Amino acid sequence: MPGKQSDNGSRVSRRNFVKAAGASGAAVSMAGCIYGNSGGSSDAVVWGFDPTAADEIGDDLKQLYADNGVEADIELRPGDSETGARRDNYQRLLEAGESEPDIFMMDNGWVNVFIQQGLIANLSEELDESELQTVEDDYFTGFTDTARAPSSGDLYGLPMYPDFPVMQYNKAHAREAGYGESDFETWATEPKTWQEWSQLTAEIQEAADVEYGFTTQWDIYVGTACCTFNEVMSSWGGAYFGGRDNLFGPVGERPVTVNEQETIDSLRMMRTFVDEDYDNALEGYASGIMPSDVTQWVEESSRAPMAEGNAVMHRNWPYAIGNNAAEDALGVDNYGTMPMPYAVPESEAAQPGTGGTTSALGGWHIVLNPNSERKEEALEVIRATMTDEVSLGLFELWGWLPPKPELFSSDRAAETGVVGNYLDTIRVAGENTMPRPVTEVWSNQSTVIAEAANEVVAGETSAEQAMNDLQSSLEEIEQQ
Amino acid sequence: MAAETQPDATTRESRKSGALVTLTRRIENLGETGFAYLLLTPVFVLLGTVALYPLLRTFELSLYQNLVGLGEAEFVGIENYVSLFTGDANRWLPGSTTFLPGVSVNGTFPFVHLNGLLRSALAVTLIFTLVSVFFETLIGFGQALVLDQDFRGRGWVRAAIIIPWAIPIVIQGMIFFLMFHPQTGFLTEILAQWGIVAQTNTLNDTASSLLIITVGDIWKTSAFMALLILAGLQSIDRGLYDVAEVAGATRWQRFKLITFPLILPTLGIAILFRTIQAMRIYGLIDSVSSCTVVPSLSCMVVETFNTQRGLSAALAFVTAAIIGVVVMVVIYQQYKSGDI
Repeated sequence: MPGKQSDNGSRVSRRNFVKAAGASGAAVSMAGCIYGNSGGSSDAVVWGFDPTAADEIGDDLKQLYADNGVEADIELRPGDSETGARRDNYQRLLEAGESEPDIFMMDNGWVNVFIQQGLIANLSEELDESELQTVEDDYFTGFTDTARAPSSGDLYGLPMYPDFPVMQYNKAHAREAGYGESDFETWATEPKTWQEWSQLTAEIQEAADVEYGFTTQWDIYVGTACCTFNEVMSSWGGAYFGGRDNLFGPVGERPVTVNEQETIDSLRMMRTFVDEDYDNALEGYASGIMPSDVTQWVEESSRAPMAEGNAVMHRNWPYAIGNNAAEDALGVDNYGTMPMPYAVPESEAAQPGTGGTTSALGGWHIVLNPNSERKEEALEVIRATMTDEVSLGLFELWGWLPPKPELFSSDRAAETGVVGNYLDTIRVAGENTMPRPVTEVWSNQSTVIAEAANEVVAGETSAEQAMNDLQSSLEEIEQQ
Repeated sequence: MAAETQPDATTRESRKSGALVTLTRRIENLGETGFAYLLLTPVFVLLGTVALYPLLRTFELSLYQNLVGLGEAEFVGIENYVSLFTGDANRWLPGSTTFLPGVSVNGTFPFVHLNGLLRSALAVTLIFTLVSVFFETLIGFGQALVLDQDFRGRGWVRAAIIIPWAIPIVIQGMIFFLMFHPQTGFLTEILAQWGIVAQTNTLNDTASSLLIITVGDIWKTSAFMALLILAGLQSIDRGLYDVAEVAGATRWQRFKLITFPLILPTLGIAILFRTIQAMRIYGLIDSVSSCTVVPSLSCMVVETFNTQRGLSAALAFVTAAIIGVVVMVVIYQQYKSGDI
């Protein structure tokens, strides 16, 4: 669908998309080599890479690694700009036993499937104990978990950069409702309940007289299943498969729990936000703050009203902060962030490991090709990526967030670009992240989930009916 | 001795030329039908290579249960077809409640629920094909009749008709996507007020999306029909019209008794071409709405390819079989009427 983004959708702006299209064209002409062993220096470590970043910061990135002790040459091999196509290409390459690329950037949403299929190298067998301990101790746990084998806990991917959505708001509109800097400071790190937040949104919307209270993404696409619905449901204490422990399987042996009351209520809340005349509305929640258009909105379409100053609240990835709070847009003084609201605290969540403020998870890992003929050199690149210098360097070069929470507090990170002003909120999001439940059947499940969640918010069916139907569909897929 | 046992060069040449002469004589002695088949042999070989082999290979794949990347393919016989026609395959068909109308996961009777019926891949494909080809033929015929007339500015009119056909499918899809998208669409509200499309969530509503996609296809492809039909119209001997006019035939009588019967074979071929194309609808769906919302047969083939290749192959083979049946029926009709 035009305008729709793939998978985590986290770093794709229109500008970047155009760049990416150009870059992928260049990639094909340069390499003709998505299938492997052609072109480039025979000694270089070949890295399957993001096409736009390779095009824009390729030379600087190689310099960054050289400055941090990597002696091997690095060749960035751009993949497809559409993440699904890139994943399929990598799968075919690895299934065919190709030795190049030596390392890959992999979406955290793919890695578990590649682990299950036995296609990528076990880093727990390649890295030293101390290095593994560093990953265990210093990285965002929820993010690192997506790079581990669920059965053994072995590490198969090194977290390169994470991505966490946050609630973004227009400070100028909030000021019109009487709120000020001290409020904004509190909001930056202390999550509100959905009830408080909806009333606040309605109040600001009325005071500022803007068209939209809340804009978000709720189209029938993977972003709804992996992220927006996953967040809302989790913040109510619900889960797709009985809680955090079952996110990555085992398929067929875990419970399906979408027809539980907490999940149904989370959808009722979203419908309440849309429809002022909703028969089944939740009491105490503001209605009419969200346009029905959200059921056809993805990241960029939902960002547009916010960028135009026509919305109070907006849920999106940090890339949207970079765009909306830029000097030539709303500006940092007029743009604020807060953690995602919640309905029940963790202690009261019905499903284990859920509840409280919850942010979906995007971001990419580095994985090693088990067939690589330059394994030592490739591991040298992976080890360099673990250094703070490289993590912060990547943030400065391309806005890729550091994978270690500690680095969010550094002066260097705070001074980096527009997003550097919002790291406190993003760190809270990172500490309260809920990964998507990726298994080999997730692509089928995500479609029916997105469809069901969309129909409820569009008012086409009741939350109970939709979740009962979804329960049956997910159970069928689990029992394949 | 070697020199005595081996034939010399002259003898070899003589034998070669003798074989050539024999072959030439055999060809000369072939009957007319045999000679025609001989000339068609390269075509048969080519068709066998580029069409028949992939089809047979697809059928072979459809007999395996192959979940991509998870172990070896397992031979399951016709299980993929059975699950397709009994509804067991539903879980592999994203967005599609069923493959066939009448087989519903939740036990609801789909014919009383339009969206339920339209979630059937087969129903979506057939409805789209019937409606789009019917209107494309009608409009294309009208356009061809206009273009067949001699009038000033005919070149411009012809260009105007052909322009939609020249637009790439993705661009066309984007045009219709923007026309009906909540943020940019200027037609949604008007049509929704008339009850023609859904007020909200228009491009995620199966019935509305199917209507928009069908209209989009008619807009684009009527020109293709017009060009084919025009070629047929221009092959009609103009003298027939002169004779009919002298005999006092009205315009309607000339159309009914001369134009329509003589254009019928061309019309049959044009409809056949368009039917085959329409049954493979995918690009327009993917760019205007999504395969989840409007699950055509080709959509389902694509959607299941990366997760269930055996089922995807079964779907592809069923689609090819349906198209094959349509082709055979049309060809048989033409054969019966003596047009081929």
